[in-house]
Amino acid sequence: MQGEQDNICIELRNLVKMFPGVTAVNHVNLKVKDREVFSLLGPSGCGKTTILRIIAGLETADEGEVLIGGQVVNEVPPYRRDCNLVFQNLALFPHMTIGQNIAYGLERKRVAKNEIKKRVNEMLEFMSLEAMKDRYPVQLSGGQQQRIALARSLVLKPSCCCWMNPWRHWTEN
Amino acid sequence: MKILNARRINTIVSMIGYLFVWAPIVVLAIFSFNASAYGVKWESLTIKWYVDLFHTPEIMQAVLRSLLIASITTIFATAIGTLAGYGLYKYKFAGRRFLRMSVLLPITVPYVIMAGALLVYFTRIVHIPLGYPAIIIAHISFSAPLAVFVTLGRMQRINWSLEEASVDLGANTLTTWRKVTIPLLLPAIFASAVLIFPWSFNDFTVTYFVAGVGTTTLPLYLFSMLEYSLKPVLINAISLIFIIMPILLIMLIYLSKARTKHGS
Repeated sequence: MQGEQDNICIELRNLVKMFPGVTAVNHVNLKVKDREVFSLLGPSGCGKTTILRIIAGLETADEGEVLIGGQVVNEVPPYRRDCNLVFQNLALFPHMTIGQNIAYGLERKRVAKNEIKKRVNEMLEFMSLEAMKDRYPVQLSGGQQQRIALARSLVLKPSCCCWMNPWRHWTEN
Repeated sequence: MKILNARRINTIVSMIGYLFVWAPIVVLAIFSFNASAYGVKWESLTIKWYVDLFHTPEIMQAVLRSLLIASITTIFATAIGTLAGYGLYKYKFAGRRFLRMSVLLPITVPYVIMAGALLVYFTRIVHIPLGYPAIIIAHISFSAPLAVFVTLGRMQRINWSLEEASVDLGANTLTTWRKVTIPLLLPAIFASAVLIFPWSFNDFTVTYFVAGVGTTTLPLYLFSMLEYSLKPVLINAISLIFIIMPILLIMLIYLSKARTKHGS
């Protein structure tokens, strides 16, 4: 039982979120294990995005608990949570190059400059976007931008990565 | 045929518009080289008014005063206006709509009424001495709303998920402001400064009411020259300098942008 609890990456207990005139999240319970790919499916406006935003700390829950790595994080600000979000509109910083976008989170965590350079290059290679390092987001296609948004989250090696609408910009290639 | 005629009419109307705007400036430029001191009738070509200009310490002092006041006003009015615009857009609080609308007031109230009100406020209520402090505070009070409007306009076009993305990637509020919000607002900040500087530099009405001894700005000095000076043509010369300077600045910015674009 203890072993199973250790493998839980995200846990939501009786999560409730209300907006004026609507209950967006109504007593939701779920557990996501380490290395598990967990999908939230539902019609538009059913609260999927709200749940992800609560997990990331961008919204506060009205009731219930959010646990990441077994710790209750309701009071932990988003910039201290070991969880990253890939936004539906990607939210790449338009005034930064692709390299600077990927390095942004590592710089905030005060990772050494050499290490940042190495991890950014590795991530660009992993995404097959090495040639795009010095370009700006506006110069990339939708699919390429999505890969960069994912790279920007994964480069931080978070315990969990929440991805909003992952197939939105995906192409067959 | 009809389209061709419409195009021709459009061109003619545009030309008349440009002529209306530029004709006085062209006349002013030409007459600044006129040897006649009153500048009404053309006599001969000269540059002596430009030489005179730089040998008239009162004019140079007035220019420096105006530049100083406009610079301080631009810095403070842009900062205050940008912060106010940001707050009015981002934070929801009681009376927000009223505040957004009332920001317009200093722009819509006739200058002469605003100037009178400021004079009474400074001398009777807060007892701020007339002169530099009063001029700068007055200029900030009528310039900051411009920055609020420019900022509000810009903020409507910004993707605010970018701030959330920054926080999600580990940046606290202050770092997010420094690294994401300010760079995104930079076009608005620059546009506000570009609008506020000449507005403050040009102001005559409000400055006339709240200026004290030894704080005569360039517009006030030019007005007194027009009334009492024997060489009103000097106004043409100084005006031309202040018309050419921003045009040169805009051309330099344009050229450097074009070069950067070409380089990349």
